[in-house]
Amino acid sequence: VASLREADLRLKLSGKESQERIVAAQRRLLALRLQLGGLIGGTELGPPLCVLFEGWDASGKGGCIRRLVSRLDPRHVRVAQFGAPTADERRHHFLHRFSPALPGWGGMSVLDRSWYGRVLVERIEGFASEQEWRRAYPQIYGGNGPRQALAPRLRRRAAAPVPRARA
Amino acid sequence: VEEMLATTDHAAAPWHVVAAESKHYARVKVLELVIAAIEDALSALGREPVDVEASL
Repeated sequence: VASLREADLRLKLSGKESQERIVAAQRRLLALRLQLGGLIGGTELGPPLCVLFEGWDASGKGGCIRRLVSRLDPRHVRVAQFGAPTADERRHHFLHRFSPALPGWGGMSVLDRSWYGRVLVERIEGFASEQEWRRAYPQIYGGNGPRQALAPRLRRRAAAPVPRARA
Repeated sequence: VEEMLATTDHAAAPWHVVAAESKHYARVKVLELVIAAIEDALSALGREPVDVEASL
């Protein structure tokens, strides 16, 4: 799902059931993580894994991240939080400060907030001028490949009927 | 936010919106989404995800 409108906010789970599924999922993730790192199931390094979270304050990002990484070997995952850029960071391009947090091939990192903040919080709070956040989009998704790939999706969206009421 | 999701969602870097009114639901969902994404990425490379019980 890539739209807030399609999110079903009534979804919930009991603490007991979620605990059981979390334990099972953490075990599965641990195995997959070792596989991506070439430590089990052959020595081939898997693709890198970068999980990044954006969300309102107090929306539970931190709790999700803790459960995502708590059973993994801390040497095998890097968790990075990004708040407002420091004065020093502001002197650089807005993507500059994120590159050390990116996973290499076979690596894993989890980002608590990210460069997408440029077109979210920095835009809303006025830290980035309109010119700055508008040009951030192509800087985020790269050359013209993604833009072409996105065109049909955006057209479909524009042609969609009136959205149904939010749950 | 909607504009950001629509503009930056990409086959190589898809967004997943996780409903988080229930923290229990959101935590399970995040873990299961990540697992599914890894399994899909491995399959796309023609590799079989490991069997958990046999390997841990």
